[in-house]
Amino acid sequence: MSVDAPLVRVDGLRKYFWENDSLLDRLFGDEPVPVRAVDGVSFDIHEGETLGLVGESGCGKSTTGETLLRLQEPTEGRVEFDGENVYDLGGAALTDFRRRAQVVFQDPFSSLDPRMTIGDIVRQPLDVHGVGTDTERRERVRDLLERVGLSADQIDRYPHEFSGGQRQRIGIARALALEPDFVVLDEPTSALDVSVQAQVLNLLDDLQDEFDLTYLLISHDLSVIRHVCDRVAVMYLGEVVEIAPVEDLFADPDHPYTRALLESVPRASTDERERDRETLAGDVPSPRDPPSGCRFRTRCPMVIPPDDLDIDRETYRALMTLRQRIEQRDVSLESVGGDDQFTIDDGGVPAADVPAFVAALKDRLLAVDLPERHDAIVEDALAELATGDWDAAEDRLRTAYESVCERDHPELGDGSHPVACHLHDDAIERTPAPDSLD
Amino acid sequence: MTEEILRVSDLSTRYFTQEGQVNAVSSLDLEIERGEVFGIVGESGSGKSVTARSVMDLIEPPGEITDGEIRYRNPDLVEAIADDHPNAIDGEFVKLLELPDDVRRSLRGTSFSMIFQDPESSFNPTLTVGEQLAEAVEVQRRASATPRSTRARTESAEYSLGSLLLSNVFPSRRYVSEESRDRAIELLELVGIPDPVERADEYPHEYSGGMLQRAMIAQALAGEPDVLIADEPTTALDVTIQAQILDLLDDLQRETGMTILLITHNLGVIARMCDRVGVMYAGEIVERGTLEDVFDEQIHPYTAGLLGSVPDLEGGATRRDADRRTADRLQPIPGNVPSLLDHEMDDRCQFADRCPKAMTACLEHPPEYPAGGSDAHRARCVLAEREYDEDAALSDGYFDESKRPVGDEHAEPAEPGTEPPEERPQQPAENTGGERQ
Repeated sequence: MSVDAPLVRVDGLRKYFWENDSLLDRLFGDEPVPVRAVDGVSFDIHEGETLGLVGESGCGKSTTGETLLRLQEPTEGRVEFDGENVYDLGGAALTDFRRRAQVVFQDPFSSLDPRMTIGDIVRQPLDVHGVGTDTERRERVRDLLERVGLSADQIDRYPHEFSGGQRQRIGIARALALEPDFVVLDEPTSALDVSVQAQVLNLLDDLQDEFDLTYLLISHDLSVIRHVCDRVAVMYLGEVVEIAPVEDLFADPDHPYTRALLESVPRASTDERERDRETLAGDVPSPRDPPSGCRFRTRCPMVIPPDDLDIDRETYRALMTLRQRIEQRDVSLESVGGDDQFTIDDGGVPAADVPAFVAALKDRLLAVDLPERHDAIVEDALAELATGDWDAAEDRLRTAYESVCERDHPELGDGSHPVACHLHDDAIERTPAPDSLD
Repeated sequence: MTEEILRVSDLSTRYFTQEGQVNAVSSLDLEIERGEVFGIVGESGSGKSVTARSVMDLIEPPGEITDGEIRYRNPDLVEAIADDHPNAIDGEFVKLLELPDDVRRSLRGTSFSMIFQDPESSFNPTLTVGEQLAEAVEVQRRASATPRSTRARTESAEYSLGSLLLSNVFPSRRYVSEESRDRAIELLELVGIPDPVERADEYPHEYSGGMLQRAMIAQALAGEPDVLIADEPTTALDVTIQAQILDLLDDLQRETGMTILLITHNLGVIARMCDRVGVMYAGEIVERGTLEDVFDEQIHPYTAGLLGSVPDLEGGATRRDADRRTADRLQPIPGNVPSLLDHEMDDRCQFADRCPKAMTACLEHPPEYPAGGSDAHRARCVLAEREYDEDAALSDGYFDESKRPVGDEHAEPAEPGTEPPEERPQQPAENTGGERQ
């Protein structure tokens, strides 16, 4: 293998899970719904490095890990391991890949068979791949156990006799049994207490040096990522939004999501209460129906207004949130105003009530005061709602406020610190106001 | 901020299991002042959740509060029960453990209420969120209509056997009145749930995790409690959602001035929220004080170890810097949280076997010593009294005669050798929230 070629190259990997995909559903003609767990992910992992994959739950990081090890079949895309496409492998080549790529799972309580002794658990990969003789295997298991900080005398004990940290060590020993080149660590410490977590992280670090391992570390914990990784890929809703060397990412995060993620973590220091924080509003959208364009735009505090709009960031964010609610029909007209103030027939209020209804609705939906021009647009749109015409309201607002973030999907560029965000798009001539970058 | 609202003294909670007696909480003292946020931090199995449940009186067999007193300051309550239960009164304080069950039950929700860790399993999936909130409101209403009596709640016509049978025939029957429902909607609005009118009619599965946690907070606030006990309120949530929930708790605390007892294993959450902190280890508070005392001037090696094992998010060296071998190595605490089985616990400092500064003096159980910093700063460690003395140090293998395994330089394993690994057997039902996490 040449020095430059990455050990693992992931290219456009997609993994969809299908809902409504049973025989009955097909019989009744229900369309299957894709859950886009991983949606076009690309990154490289070089030999000897640790790449971190960080994101919130449900963003597809574990699915990425499992799919690139071919524990799941991909929907699309390719993964090259040492120059060969993993999904084309078969027979001896696949067995060889299985030997060279291993995984450590998150939950040390459910990933070890309770009816096997730990010696058998660690030995199983050796049996499966037919490595060595019986005595050699037993010797190797004892070595491994000692290497991960357990005692070789414990070889005949069962998993329930061990604590969480010790069990995770057993999982690590099992992953190392076949002398792999590449290990996927799927949240290896998230089930552990902090003091034990530190032991396991130090162990992983030592093992990497000793056996020249390449790691893919999947974690939701940014402090662990910062401590262990060389480079980091940040995932949001099935996509990678930013990849950067670890010190760049933490010192100078470019994507608004990365920035929000970093700000959200409470620091264990006495200055924490005085720290400026900007908390992200809202929840992660469903991967069944991800937002168009940039997937983060529904929560992004820096969503980009159209050029000709003279409007500050917060007001624009509020308007975009209003639009999203109207587009999702997530506004209830029945409960506007006090008790029975408005009667709603055929989805709308009587013409005489419209101005009062609009005022009450605006009061409820918008917390900010709008400049006059925008006020007029919003009232127009809400008046359409008052007559029950959701589409017209939607159109009215879209014409006025459509953002580049919803039209175009930002591409993750090249280079050492690519970011998938229109704020960093050279193609679009846009200089955001200086303060909006802070 | 000077009035004590809750004073727990010498509290011991034990579990009587097949393996033996588990000393989940031992002789614990705790004072909480009105309007403060008091944090308890510790690893799983340190007894923090059991402490919270003891205060709430939610200890179930095989557990039992075997000793101690929990005093709660509430002059109104004192007046209300003075005639019936004179034993339970101490000045303005009520001794909770002296009260009969029905009175204690009537305090739940109105005086104390609790937020649990896992919102998804804490709601009843078959009732709408609004109904469950309204139920809490109803309970509170009846309790305040006939103060400190639980009778009104259980013997009214709505809860009669006939009514139960009727509800089987007409499942749409509602148990909550219109006013309670409106109040439930107000509460949902208070905790920042958009469109509360509609959301009240949705079932828990239609909510996201963060929303459900908000709803649980709303439910806990229904009774306008004096003390809110939050047991790992954000552990099941993502960081961005965690930040939202912490903001919410912070705002609510500032608006209503309620007292919060916050239990968590996350030191960052403690730093974000708390005025005073207690660090728990093996069923005891080993160090307590203001946030500054504990985070900046800690005495106890366990506190130091806990803070040292958290990887930094800012400053310090990252892995790619030069000489990372020394610069960025985490400083773990060797070993594991001890078993709390009575017959395996010696009468010594419970941390001595993992402590880097263990001395012969540590073989006696240390009292709480006052420590530097603020007046509230106390540490259950001899180091508060004297300097570490190498000559008096215990030899490395003092607690395990057998030798450590070879090739183990990254971190000490827990209990090598011939003894079975000392740890609490994992019983799913007994696991605390943190462990299940």
